[in-house]
Amino acid sequence: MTEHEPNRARAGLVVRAVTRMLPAGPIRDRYRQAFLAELHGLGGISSMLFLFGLLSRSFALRAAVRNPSADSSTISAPAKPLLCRTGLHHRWRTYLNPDGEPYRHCVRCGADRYDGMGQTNVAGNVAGNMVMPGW
Amino acid sequence: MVAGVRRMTIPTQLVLRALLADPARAMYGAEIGQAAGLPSGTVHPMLARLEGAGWLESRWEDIDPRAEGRPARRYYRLSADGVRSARDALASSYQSRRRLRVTQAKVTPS
Repeated sequence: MTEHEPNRARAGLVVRAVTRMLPAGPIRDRYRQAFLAELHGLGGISSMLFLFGLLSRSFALRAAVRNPSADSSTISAPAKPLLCRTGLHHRWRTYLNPDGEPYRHCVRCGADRYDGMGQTNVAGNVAGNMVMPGW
Repeated sequence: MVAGVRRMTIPTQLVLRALLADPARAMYGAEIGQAAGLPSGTVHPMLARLEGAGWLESRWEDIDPRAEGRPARRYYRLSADGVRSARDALASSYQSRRRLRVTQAKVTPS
């Protein structure tokens, strides 16, 4: 028994845990074999990093494998940051639309906002938003 | 033109660039991660999505594991459609970023 065998056994357990999230059958077997093959020959730190990467992206892998009919729009879907998704914080930049009007664009999530650039009258904006739909 | 490419994530662009560097050459997952400058092990969800969309094709390495002393790897490369789509997507993404930069430069600070 070589000194690498316990590490290899542990790595095999991690790969098994990651691939357990995948649909049972040929898909799970395929990824298990592919990951074990890629682990082969990696050094201690490299294999740890590889396994950590697999673990951290295991839910994303499961989602990707479960939806094999995804089209190209899925490929280009943005990974929306948590702060943007929750509306707590956007990274706004100011741009001009084709009509030359300024608007704000979040460079992290791609959201656009026309909010009366430069105005800080929140009450006025709220009242305007409430009145506009009835017009 | 691929819909929504303007929002393609940077890691996906890096993976596509790595594969487009030599579209005829097949690479395994960790190798793609290295070429893309991404942590190895994190590229597999991207590869799965690209393969699901038909941009990638994969196959097992044709070796005798006993003779080589290691298991066969899973190799990926861009399909013919994938090469076209990836080039279009990256070009659109570049154009979009360039357009945004030019427009941003025109905005005068308030």
